[in-house]
Amino acid sequence: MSSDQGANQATEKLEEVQLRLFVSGATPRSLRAIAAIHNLCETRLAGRYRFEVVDAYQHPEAAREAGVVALPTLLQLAPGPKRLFIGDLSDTAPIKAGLGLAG
Amino acid sequence: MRKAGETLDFLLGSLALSGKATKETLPSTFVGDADAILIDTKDGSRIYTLEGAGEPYRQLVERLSEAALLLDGEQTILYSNGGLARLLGHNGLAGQNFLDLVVTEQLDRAKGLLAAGLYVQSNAELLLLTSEGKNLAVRVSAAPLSFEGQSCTALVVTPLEEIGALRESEHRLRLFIEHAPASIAMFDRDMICLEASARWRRDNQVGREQIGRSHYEFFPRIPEAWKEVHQRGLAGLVERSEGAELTRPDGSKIWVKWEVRPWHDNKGEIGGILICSEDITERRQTEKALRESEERLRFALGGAQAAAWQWNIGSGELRWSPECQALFGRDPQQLSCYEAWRDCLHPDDLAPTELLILDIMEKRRPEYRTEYRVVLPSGEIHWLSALGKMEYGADGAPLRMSGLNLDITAKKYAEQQLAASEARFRAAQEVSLDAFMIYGPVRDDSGRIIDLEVFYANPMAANFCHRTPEQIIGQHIGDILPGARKPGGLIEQHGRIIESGDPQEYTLEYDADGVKGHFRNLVAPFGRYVATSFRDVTAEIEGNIALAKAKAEAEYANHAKSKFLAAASHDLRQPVQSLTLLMSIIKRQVANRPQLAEAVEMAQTSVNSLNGMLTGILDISRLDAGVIEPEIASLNVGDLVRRLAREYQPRAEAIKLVLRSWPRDLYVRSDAALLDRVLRNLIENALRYTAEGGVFIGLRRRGDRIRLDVIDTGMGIPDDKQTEIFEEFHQLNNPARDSSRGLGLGLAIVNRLARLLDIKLEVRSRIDRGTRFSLLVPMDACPAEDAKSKPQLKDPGGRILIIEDNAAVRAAYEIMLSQWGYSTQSAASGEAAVALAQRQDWRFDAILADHRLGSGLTGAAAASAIAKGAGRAIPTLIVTGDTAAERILQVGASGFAMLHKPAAADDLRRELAAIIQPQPLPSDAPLIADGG
Repeated sequence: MSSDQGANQATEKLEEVQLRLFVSGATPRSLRAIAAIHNLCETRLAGRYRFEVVDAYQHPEAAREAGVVALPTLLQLAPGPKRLFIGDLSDTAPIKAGLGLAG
Repeated sequence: MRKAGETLDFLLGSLALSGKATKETLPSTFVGDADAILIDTKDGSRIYTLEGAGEPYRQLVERLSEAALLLDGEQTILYSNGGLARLLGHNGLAGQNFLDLVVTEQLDRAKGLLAAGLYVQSNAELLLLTSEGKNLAVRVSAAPLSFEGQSCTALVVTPLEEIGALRESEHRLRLFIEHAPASIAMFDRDMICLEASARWRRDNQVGREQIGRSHYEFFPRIPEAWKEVHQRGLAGLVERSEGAELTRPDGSKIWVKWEVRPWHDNKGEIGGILICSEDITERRQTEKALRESEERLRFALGGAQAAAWQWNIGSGELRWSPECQALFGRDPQQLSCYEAWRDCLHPDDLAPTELLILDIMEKRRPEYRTEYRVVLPSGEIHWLSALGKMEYGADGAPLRMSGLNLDITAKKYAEQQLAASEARFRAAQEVSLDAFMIYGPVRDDSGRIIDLEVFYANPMAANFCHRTPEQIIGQHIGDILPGARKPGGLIEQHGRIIESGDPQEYTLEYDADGVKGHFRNLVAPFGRYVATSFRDVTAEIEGNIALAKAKAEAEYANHAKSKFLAAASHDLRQPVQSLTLLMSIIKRQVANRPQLAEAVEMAQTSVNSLNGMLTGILDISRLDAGVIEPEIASLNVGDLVRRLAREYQPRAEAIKLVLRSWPRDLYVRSDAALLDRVLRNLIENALRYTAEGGVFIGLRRRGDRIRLDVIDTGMGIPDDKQTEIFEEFHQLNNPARDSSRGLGLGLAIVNRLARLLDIKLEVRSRIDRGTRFSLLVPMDACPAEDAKSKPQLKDPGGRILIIEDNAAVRAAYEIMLSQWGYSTQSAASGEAAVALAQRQDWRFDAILADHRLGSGLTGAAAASAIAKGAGRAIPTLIVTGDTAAERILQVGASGFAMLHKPAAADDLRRELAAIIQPQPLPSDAPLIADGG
C-alpha cells in the first residue's frame, strides 16, 4: 500500500478522478470490472470522474505502454500519482483507499 | 480466486525477474482475478487468455439446444457443442474437418457456404451424416467470427424438420388466414400484399395474384380517405370503423366494418398493416329491418293510441312501451309494477277488473279483454280497452301476460253522444203528433221487394194500425196491413222509392184493414232503409172538399143571381120601354096644360128613375160579362166637366145645393162615354147624399195622372165602410131603401168602370163634413187636336121596317119615327116582317127590331133573313132588353147596332140616324133640338 494514503485519509479530495480500465475483450471478469468501477464512480464520485475502458485486444500497445501485464487492470491517472489496480476489482477497498475515499 | 491471484503474483514476479523492464513501472495493487496476461514478444505485445476466462460463454453455447460449431479457416472444427452431438450423434468432433460430415454430393455446396461464411452471414440447406450413417437434412447458418486474431466461422445447424415444423407452422398460419371467416390482408410498408384470406379476395373481387403486388395497383380508385387511413396505420395508429359504405369494383354497395392496425416485425418496428374487414351489409340490413319494424310498431301503437305491456306475474314487474305516457299520463318507470298500474284505475272499475283478472287466472283462460277507466295525474279520465294473452307454466301457474291498451275515450264519448242522440230521437218520436216509421226491404230470391219489415214505429204510427209499437216492430207490414200488398199499394210504392233513392211526398187514401182516411206521406230512403212520416189529413181533405163545394155553390148562387137579375130586368124592360117612349109623347102633348104637364113631369121623373135603375142593373151585368170595351182616346176632360156641370146645375138648384166646378183644359186618355158615366154617378151620388151645402167638381194634375174630384158637403162615409160602399146594392143610411136614392148600384158601376179604364179610385170622407171621391185618370201626354166643331146630326129620313111584338111599343115607335121624318112599316113577328119585306120588294132603308119577338125568329135572325132576301146589307138596329151576357154577345156578334131597353128616344133617334148615315161622331154630340 502506498504511503501516500495516510496523508490523504483525513480529507476526501475533490479533484476530478480519471480512471482507465484495460480489459480483455468481453470476458466475464472484464465485464465485472467495468461494472464495479462504474458503480463506484457513480455512487462515490458522481459528477467528478472520467472513466475510460480500453480493450487490450484492440490496443495492445497502449496496454504495454501503461505497464499493464494482466487484464483487467485499472489505471488511476488522477488524482496522482498514477497507480495500477490489477484483477477483476472484486476487492474495491484498495481502490477506494487509493482514491482517498473512506472504505 | 486467491489461488489465481497467487499464481499471478508468482507469474508477475517471475516476469519481472526475467529482466524485461517496462517503460514505466507503476505501483500496482491486486484487486481480483485476471483473465489474461499481456506478454511482450518479438512481434509485439500479445494477450494470452487464461483458461476459464470464457467459461461462461462456453457453457452457454454448450447448453444451447441449437447445434453450433466453430471452424477455423481450414474448415477444421475447433469446437462443437452438445447440441450438435445430440443432433448428429457425434461426440468430440474437435479437430475433424467439417466437410467430413457432409454427404458427398453436397460438398461443393458446403464449401461454398463456408467460403462465404468467412465474410458474411450465409445460409444453406445441406445433408449431413449422422453417427448412424443416416442423412439428416439441415439448414446451416454460417457467420464470420474473429478468435484470437484468427478468422473463424461459427455455424448453427438446424434440422429441416424443425424448419419443416416452422414451415408447417407458417403453413398452418397461411391456412388460418386463408380460411379465416373474416376478410384479412397483410401488407408491408409499401402496401404490397403479403397475405390475404379467401374472404378478402372474394369481398374485394381479386385473385391470388394480389399477393406480392401493391394494394393500390389493384384498387386504383381507392378514395383518398382510405389511403390516409392506411398511412396512419403505417404510422402506428389503429383505426377502425363500426360501419362504412364501400363501393365494390362492380359498383355494388356494401356496408363494411373495418380495422387497420400496424404489425411489428421481430425488431419491434412496424412492418406494415393488417386490414381486417367484415361485410356487415346483411347485418346492417337486418338491423335496419329490425329498426324499421320497431318504428312501424311504434307508429302503429302511436297511431292507434295503444300502449304495449308485459306483466311478469311472479315478480309483479310491468314493462311498457313509451306510448303508455299518452294513455296513463305516466311514463313506463312510473308504471313499472302491478300496484302502480292498479292505482291508476278508476275506483268504480278497479274491483271488477281485478276480479276479472283473478277469474281468468283461476280458470286458466288464455285471453283477457276488458274496458276500464283510468285517472291521469291531471285528473283527466281516459277510457281504455285492454287486450291480453296469458302464458301459463307447465304446472299451470300463470307466468306472464302481455298485451295492449287502447285509448277508446273518443269512441266512448261518441257512444255516449250517440246514445244521448238516440234517446232524444226516441223522445221526439214518442211525443210526435205525426206517425213515423222506418222500414227495411224484404226481398224474394230475385231481389224484388215483396214486403217491408218495420224497424221502428213510434206510438202514433202504431196507433194507426191499432197496435202498440212493440207489437209491430220487427213485423212485416204486409202482415199487419194486408191492404198494403195490393198492386200499387204501400209495399209497391215504398219499394219503388227504396230502389230509386228519391224521396217522395204524396197523399194516399186508405180504406182497409180497419184504417180509413186520407194520409199525407213523406217517404225518404236512407241507406238501405226507408223512413216515412205521415199524418191523417182526412179532416183537411174533407174540409177542402167542403170548401170547394161551398165555393162552387157560391159561384152558382152568384151566377144564379146574375141570371135572375137578367131575367128580372128583361121582364121589366118591356113596360118601362113603353112608358119611356109614351111619356115623351104625352109630355109633348100636354105641354100647354100646366097641371097635366106637372103631373106628367112627375110621372116622367119616376119613369126616368125606374129607367135609371134598370139601366144600372143592365150596366152591371154588361160590365160583369166583360162585353164593354173601352175606346181609349184623347179626351179634353175640362169639356166633360163643363158639360156635366151645366147639365146638373138645374138639378142642384132644385134641391137648394150649390154646384160648382173648375174645369181646366187637361187631356186624358180614356173612354169618353164611360168616363162620363163614372162622373155622372159620382155627381148624382153627391147630390143625393148632401142635405145642404154643395158639390164641387175639380181638376188637377197629379204626376202622370189627372185627378178628378167630386167633393160634397154631405153626411160623409165612415172609414170602415169605405170599401163596402162600392158593393152592389149597398147604401149607407138608407135602411128604408128609399127608391129616390137609387138602387145603390152607382158606385158598384163606378168601381167596375174605373177598373176597366185604369182609373184609380180614392175616397176621403169625414162624417157630417163631406166626402171627396177622386179619380186618377191617365194623362194624355200629347193631346190630339180638339174637335171643337162637332158635326150636327140630321134625321136622314128613309123607310124603316119596325119589328116589335108588343103592340104598344110598336105604336110608339111608329109615332116617334114618323115625327122624325121616317116612313114606317111594322110587323109583329120576325116571320111576318120577312113576308112584309118581301111583299115590299125589300125596299127598306133600315130595320128597327126588338130582339125577343116571342117564340119565333129573333129580331136579329129576321133582319138577317131580310138582308139575305134583299141581297144586300140593310142597316139594322136591334133593341134588346136582355141583360144576360150571352144574349148581349149574341146580338153584338151579329154585326147589327144594338140598343138596350129601355132606350131613350134621343138615343133611338141618334142611333137610327147613325146607322142610316154613318158618320164619325162622338157619342155625346148634341142633337139638333127638335122635339128632343
